[in-house]
Amino acid sequence: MAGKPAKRFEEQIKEYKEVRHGNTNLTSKATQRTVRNDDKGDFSVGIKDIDESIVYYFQNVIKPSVIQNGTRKNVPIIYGNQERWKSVQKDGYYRDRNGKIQAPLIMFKRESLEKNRSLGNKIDSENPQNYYVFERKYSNKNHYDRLAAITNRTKTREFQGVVIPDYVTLTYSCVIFTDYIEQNNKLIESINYASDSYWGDPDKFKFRARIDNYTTSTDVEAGADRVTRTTFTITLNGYIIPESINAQLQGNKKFYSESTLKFGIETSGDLETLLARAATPEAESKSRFFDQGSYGASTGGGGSSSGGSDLTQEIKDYLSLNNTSIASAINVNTHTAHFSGKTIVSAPSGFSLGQDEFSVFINNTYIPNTQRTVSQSGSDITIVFSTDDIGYTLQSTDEIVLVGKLE
Amino acid sequence: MLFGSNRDFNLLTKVNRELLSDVIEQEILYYKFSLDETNANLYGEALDKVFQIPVKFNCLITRGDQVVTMDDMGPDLNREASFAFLREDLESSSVLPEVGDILNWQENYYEVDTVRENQLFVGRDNSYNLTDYSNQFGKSISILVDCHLTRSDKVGIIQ
Repeated sequence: MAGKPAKRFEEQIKEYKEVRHGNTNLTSKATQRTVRNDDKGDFSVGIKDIDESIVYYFQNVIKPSVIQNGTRKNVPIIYGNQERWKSVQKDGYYRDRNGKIQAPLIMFKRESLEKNRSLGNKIDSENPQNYYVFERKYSNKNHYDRLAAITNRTKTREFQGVVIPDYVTLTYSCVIFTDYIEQNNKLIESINYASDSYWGDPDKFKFRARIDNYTTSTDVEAGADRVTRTTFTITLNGYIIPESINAQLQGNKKFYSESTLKFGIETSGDLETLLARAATPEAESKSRFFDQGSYGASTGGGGSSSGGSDLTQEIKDYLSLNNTSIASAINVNTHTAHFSGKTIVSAPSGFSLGQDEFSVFINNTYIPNTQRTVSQSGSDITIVFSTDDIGYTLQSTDEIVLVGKLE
Repeated sequence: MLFGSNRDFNLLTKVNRELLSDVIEQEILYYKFSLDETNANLYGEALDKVFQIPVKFNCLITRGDQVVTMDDMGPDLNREASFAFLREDLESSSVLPEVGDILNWQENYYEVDTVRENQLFVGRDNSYNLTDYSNQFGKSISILVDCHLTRSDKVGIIQ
């Protein structure tokens, strides 16, 4: 487990964001969560974790040993090509006092790492799309609180999204080094039995390991000891989530479930504030109206001012009108739908009624304003569709629904 | 036995020591690893190395030439050197040369590749005896270490 990236790499984060300023994932406040009081670090699995799984499995599960001179000797496991001081001075247990390596010994080292593309991937490292989602068993946001019971507050569920790892296939070359073939045989047997298992510490990570063949040679050379060596290759299926700053910033997402749903009311402090808001572009929104009846203020509704009059019953009725009708006839040749006996209402003074006031659906598919025209034709409402824009022609069996200011 | 007693050996050692310290005057700093404080990882490497306080020795240095090799990384400097110590000097300072030790000479760091101890006074080593009296005759004179120039960043010694 890594530490807290926001604290560990504060400078790096700042520099990274400056460099990748175009990435909205990094700059969007919606995706940012504090790590304050977070006792869990970000999730990472490294190559070292995978390598350690091999050592763990050899030392704790296979526990290779041989009988030599009437006593059982555990076989040391070493990583190949260590630093000289470590190999000679620190690991003196498999050497005699003059530095001669003593058998038996098992050496392994990683030879290659290959990306496995047959499994899933995160798609884009700068904008990962695939995540594993884990739920934490305990969230410190759920302290026992009598008030929560009274207010009907549900527990917050805390989730951690971890980006899909990079799946890799690693190969390790191993050598069993013994004085005698019989010792070598025993070691091969125990290692071969463990093949195809998931190697690693059960409290950490486990990876599937396969060993396909063993090559044994016994060498007797002039001026050298007789030795028996068996070489084999471990193929291990692993996965990697790096600690690098780009991965930590975008690969780990923390989020919570909703604990309460609140409906608020927007209030204004005084008339001055109200008038100031009415002058802003927000006031152009159709959904904002100011009933100036009790204030004598201008309204900002419908894209126009009501000129200082009260919000009358006519206006209220108009605003609340939102009827639905299904087309009574469809002319597939003229691409027209007819709504028999329906009338488009007249907009009150100060309001305009355009195409935006209607929504049209063909077989539950919304048709944008630019692809159809709603108009009054005698005692009917008609909708003329632009089939070129829609991309298909009407069928007589289509269900065409009109929603809006109609009666 | 008549020849090669401790008295003879001490005379030889004194002469050699005077030669090394007052005539040849080549000095190096010998760094031994603090094995208790240096933690190695799975791969048998330590990112943070801790050394014991260095010991200054006079020694005989056989300098190899500077060799510049060229590869994809660009030119790189290599050099080999051998350092011959009086065994008595090492013993009195409780320094046992081992493979992996670090030597500092002329502001460069050398890593020990090989330790050779094969110069015996009158061909005898007084520490190896099958008879009672022979521990007074002969002795190992010198210890030679063959080294290569190592990267100072890797050693991580800050003066």
